[in-house]
Amino acid sequence: MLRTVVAGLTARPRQLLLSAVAIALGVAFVSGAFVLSDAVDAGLREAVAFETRGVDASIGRTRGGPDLEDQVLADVRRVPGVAAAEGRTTVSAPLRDAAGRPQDSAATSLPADERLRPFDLAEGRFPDNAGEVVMERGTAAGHPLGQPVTVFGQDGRLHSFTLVGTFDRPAESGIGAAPLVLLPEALHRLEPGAGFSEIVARAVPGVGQPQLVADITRALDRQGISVVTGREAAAQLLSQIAPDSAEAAGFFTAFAVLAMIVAAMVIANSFTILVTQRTRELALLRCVGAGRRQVFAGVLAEASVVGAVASVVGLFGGLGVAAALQAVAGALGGHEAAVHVPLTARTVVAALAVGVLVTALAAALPAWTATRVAPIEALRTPVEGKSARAGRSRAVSAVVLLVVGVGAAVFALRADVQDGAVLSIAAMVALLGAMLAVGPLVAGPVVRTLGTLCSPLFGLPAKLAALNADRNPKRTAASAAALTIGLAVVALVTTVTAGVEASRNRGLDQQVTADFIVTSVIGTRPLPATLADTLAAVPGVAIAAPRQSFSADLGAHGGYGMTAVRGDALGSLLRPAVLSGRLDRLDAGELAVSKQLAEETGLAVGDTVRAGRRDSPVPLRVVAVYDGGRVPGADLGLGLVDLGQLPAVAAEGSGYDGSVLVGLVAGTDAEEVRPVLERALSDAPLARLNSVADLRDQLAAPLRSTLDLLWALTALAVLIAFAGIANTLSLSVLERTRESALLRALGLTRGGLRAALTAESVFVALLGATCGLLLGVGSAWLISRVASTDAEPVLFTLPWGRLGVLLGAAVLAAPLAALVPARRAARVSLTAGMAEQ
Amino acid sequence: MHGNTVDSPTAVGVADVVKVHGRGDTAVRALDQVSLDFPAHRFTAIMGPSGAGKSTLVHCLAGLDTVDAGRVRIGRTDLTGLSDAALTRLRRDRVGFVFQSFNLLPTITAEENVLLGLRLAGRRPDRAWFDTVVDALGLRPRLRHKPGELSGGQQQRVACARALVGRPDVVFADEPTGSLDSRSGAGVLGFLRTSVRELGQTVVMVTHDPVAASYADHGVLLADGRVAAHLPRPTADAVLTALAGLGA
Repeated sequence: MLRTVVAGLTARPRQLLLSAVAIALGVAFVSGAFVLSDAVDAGLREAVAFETRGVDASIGRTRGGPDLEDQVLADVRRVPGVAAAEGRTTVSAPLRDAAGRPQDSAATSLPADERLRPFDLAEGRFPDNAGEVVMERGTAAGHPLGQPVTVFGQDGRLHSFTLVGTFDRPAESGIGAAPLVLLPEALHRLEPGAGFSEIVARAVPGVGQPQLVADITRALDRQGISVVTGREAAAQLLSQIAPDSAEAAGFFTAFAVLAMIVAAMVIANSFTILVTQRTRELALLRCVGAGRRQVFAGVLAEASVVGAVASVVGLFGGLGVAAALQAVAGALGGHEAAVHVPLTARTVVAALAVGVLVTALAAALPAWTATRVAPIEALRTPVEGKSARAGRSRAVSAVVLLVVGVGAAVFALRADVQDGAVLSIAAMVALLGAMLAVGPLVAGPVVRTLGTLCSPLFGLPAKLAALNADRNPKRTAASAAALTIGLAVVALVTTVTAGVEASRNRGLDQQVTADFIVTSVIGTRPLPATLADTLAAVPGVAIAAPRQSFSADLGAHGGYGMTAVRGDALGSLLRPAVLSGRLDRLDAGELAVSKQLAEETGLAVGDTVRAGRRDSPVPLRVVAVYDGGRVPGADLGLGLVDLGQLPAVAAEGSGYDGSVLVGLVAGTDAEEVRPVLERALSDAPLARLNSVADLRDQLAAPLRSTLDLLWALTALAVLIAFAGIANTLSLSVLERTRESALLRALGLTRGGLRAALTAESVFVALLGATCGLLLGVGSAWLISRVASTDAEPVLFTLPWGRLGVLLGAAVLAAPLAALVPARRAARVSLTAGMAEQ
Repeated sequence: MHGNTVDSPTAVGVADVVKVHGRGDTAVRALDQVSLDFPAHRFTAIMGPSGAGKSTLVHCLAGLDTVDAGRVRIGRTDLTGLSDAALTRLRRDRVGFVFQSFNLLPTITAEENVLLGLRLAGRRPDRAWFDTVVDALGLRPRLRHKPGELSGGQQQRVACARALVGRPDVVFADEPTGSLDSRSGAGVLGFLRTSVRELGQTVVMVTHDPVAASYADHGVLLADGRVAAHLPRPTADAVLTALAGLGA
């Protein structure tokens, strides 16, 4: 039997190659997803290891402990066994760009001990004196060496340093490492009185980390100070930033599961066709005396060999995919990305399991069916005439799954967010199952309808295509299903993200009618009090009003984050949705409460609150209840008062996030006024001017990068699905060689034959894409309903443009998938084709 | 020209045709300088032992295969040198086929199979002619069935109807009874003869069966890629004798 297996492998190189390609692609997809998931983790570990390199002990301050000052550092340095100790501080240090406007940045101090520096010098040298600075290489773009770099101090004053070098470090992974490095004296100038956030120490040779920690703990002997080993410090740092990366890793794992499902479907489909085509050959083996079990084992062995070889190819292909995606994501992000390709046992096991097991399983089912048929019958009946029709049990399971899915969806809508999420996922899986189950039942009618619709336009090829797709609805549905799953996920993610984006923008779009918002780059440094008047004087500006967030004491109701705004800004610059009362302006002694505050305190229009200091409370009358979203620089907080009321109700020194809202005269072009406004801001160097469009971009930015990576990944899923369609078509072409030759003999042109196959591919793609889009959008609707909370509402909006791109891409990619099989079908010699049995 | 066909115009002809299968050491001259004319409105049988080049000759005549040398002509059209598209048009407009293994599309009904060639050509079927053909073949009650639901003989009659419905210049039948029992075979052969005598068709049939050959007006014997003999009005016995003579 083994010899037959080997002979079988060598006798059909083309068919096996097609299946092997399908397997390799699928496995590459799975291993790529796993490698990416591990790469995120590896990137993080690398960044943490870099940040804590050389550190044998880390001294931190616990809550309520004393500041880590120079004295503490000096004490640590005196501990025997400490070779070197350095204080670490990071301060906010906005950079002034070429246009004179501030950009967010941060600075840290240069450790004197070279082995405790978490930087690798790239160019130039490290600073020698307090007037010099080095920058992270990516940030340094546009700043030539030897030129001055201007930085804002915490007091708002400008400090100038000479750029003497650049340094490298692993890609930022949420550690928040500062891009500017100065000598400690220089850092003190930027923020006098800044203590250390951490003191790190290096041991002399021969002293272990635990020993060093024990020595330092004993020497310091102070309450509120914690000393841990370098390894523990690294673990702590990792756990602090892990939640973010755990989210990313979870996402990649979910994606790997998706990859496995899509790959399994493509492989199963491909091998099912392959074995079905060989039913006659298997029957012949039976006729000449092979046992049922021998035939079955032979097919399995063959499938396993092909699966194993293709899996190994796919596994390494996956490493390439992961590396390429990281490089692409880095390029999109505008920085040189560190590429990690960690190959873990999990990846290898998952990839090989998918490749070998799925292939063997996919081969086992049709092989088993083949061995059930009486040998002589299989030899007699022409295989091509047999079509797999969908059965009743399929319809029943489809209905059951549909009922389960809809039921879960209904319950999900009524449940709270936690249970709702679980129920939503259950509903989506059940609906997907229903769709897959019902696929073969609807595939026939759908392609027939498509054929009828298209035949007036494309003539007979469309009709032939529909006939061919209808011939084996199970196979058609299975080819379409891989695309359905891929597109469902893309559509789901796209729609939900669009919803989140719209919700984030809603606050901006609905409540902000200002054209520009001016904020301070240093949150604790307020904008000049006269800035609003300066801006109001700019030609084209209709109104400019200051706004301020603060903590208010609402007496019996407790403390809340509120907003003070000049009363006349309401209605002209800010227009929150008013739920009750009136909010066209706000006067002294009046208060508007948010929906959330009204619900928490029971306050309603007409009520009076006693706010401010206990000894001299101010009565505030509630005049409106409003609904407001979060907008940086135009946040409405939980309650609104007139700016004049601020000193009386604000807790001491609690003002923050001050801004000036600017409204233009109707009909003025914002871009024309912008340079004038920028010039007017020259007296307020910390002020940052943002148009509403800038803010919208900033709000969407964090989502965008996620979405880009997601699209890249799911595009791969869709690519695999198309490879599956191409594969199915190719195998069908081989199976129909004789029929194609007959059609050609009867007068179908080469072009006509190609058109028929192309149309078939388009029909399958349309079927798969439509089902996928419907499922994805439906699930997105469910998720947006379930996940939406008052604090973070998620709207359901249809991103028509992006969904259209998806459908269009699917329909345009279909002819590409048909290209090779169609060429092959048209090339076959007529007499050879006719002779083929 | 052969004595009994002088009065008939020739429908199809080959002149000095050479066709080589394979190359190098394994090259076989399937047709070696064959020249033949097939008269119109006649039923011609091409006979010969296996490997004589019968099927190759018909494939070349019908534009399904190309020749390595010589000329092939249908009516006034020279097939050699025609483009693939022109050959395709010629096949669908001027040639009909009946194959040994029926070659019907399993997905469509008998009637759709009959009309497939016309559909491919975008031609409107002549209903009266369609009825004549279908009734002559006794297919009327079977038109709505799919090929899988028909017997072998019925399937071959559907194939005959498909070949004739477009009123081709010539119908080629390659071992049309090879897959049929003798009764069904006789039915098909009888129809082919009727289509020549009563409907005025031209039929060229390849067969190795002497009984099948006896339905023809004229027989051509091929051996080793060459014309070995002409048998006017062949009978089964005459064919057997001629075949036996080849072996000698």
